[in-house]
Amino acid sequence: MYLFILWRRNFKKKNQPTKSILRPLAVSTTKQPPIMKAILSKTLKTSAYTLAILFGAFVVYANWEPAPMHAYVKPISMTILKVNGLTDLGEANEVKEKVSKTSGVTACAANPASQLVSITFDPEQTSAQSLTQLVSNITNTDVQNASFEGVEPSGPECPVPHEYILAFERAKYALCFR
Amino acid sequence: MKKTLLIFSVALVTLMSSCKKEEETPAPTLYERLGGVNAISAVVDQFIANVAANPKMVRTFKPLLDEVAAGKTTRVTALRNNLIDQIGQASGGPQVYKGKDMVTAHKGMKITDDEFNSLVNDLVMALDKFKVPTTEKNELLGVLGGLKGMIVNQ
Repeated sequence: MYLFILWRRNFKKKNQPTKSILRPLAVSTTKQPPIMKAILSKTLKTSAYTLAILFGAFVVYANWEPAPMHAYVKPISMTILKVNGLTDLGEANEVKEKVSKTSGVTACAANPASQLVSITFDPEQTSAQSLTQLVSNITNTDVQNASFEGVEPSGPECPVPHEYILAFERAKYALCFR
Repeated sequence: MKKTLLIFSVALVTLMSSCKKEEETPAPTLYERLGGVNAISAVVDQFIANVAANPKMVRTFKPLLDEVAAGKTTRVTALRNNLIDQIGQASGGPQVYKGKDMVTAHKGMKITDDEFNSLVNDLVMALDKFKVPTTEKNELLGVLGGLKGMIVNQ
């Protein structure tokens, strides 16, 4: 709408060609009229300046205070496995000890009450699949990913997806030069 | 005479400065005694693993557990980051906790005493795994135990 108003204001009637049904076809479609070029150029410039100012403001915000200490700790992944038949405390401790000694595993817990084995690990050194295979080899049973269906959550959840919050934090840390 | 006075005054100054008390080095903070951010993150990782396998914690941590079951770890990462910052700050470290306050974070969850005690037990097991001395353990539990009123029955 704005572009149309600008075009109308600067359009010169005396140069207007004769009205003809074929006029739109007669006008070359390869060249943009000068006024459209100017509008496009102005829009691009304004957008570029706005983005640059927003980026600059974000860099200032990212450097306003030092990066949080947790940014210096290696990120982890997690997997929770259901091991049917893991009811013996001794076996649970054996699984815990053997998995904890595996390269890349930062923590392991095995609970015979829930028959769950939860493992936190460095995704660069190992993977959920290899850990699942390891637990299966130790317990000599089929191991599956745990499911928590049928349990109602205790309270409200944050409406903003956590992926957005973490992505924002990572971008902020990446631009922190302190 | 002047020489004697000069020697005497130099000797006096030397004696007095040698009697000066040595500056006391400040006692290490709980954060330093625990081992810094790497040690705290190891304890936090073990704590999270204990909680995830604890059947009493399923109701409280259901969204996190569902996400892990689906192969994502964004909630685990967020919880881990907040715990590292909170424990670091509570023990006198340079971290600054920027998450929600305890009342807001646990509002509507109706966490019971039993669930809270089970959570503390998971933390104690994590500290015991890394053989944290009793003094430091009790100090940390004392600091975090003070949050009970803001977490339970909200």
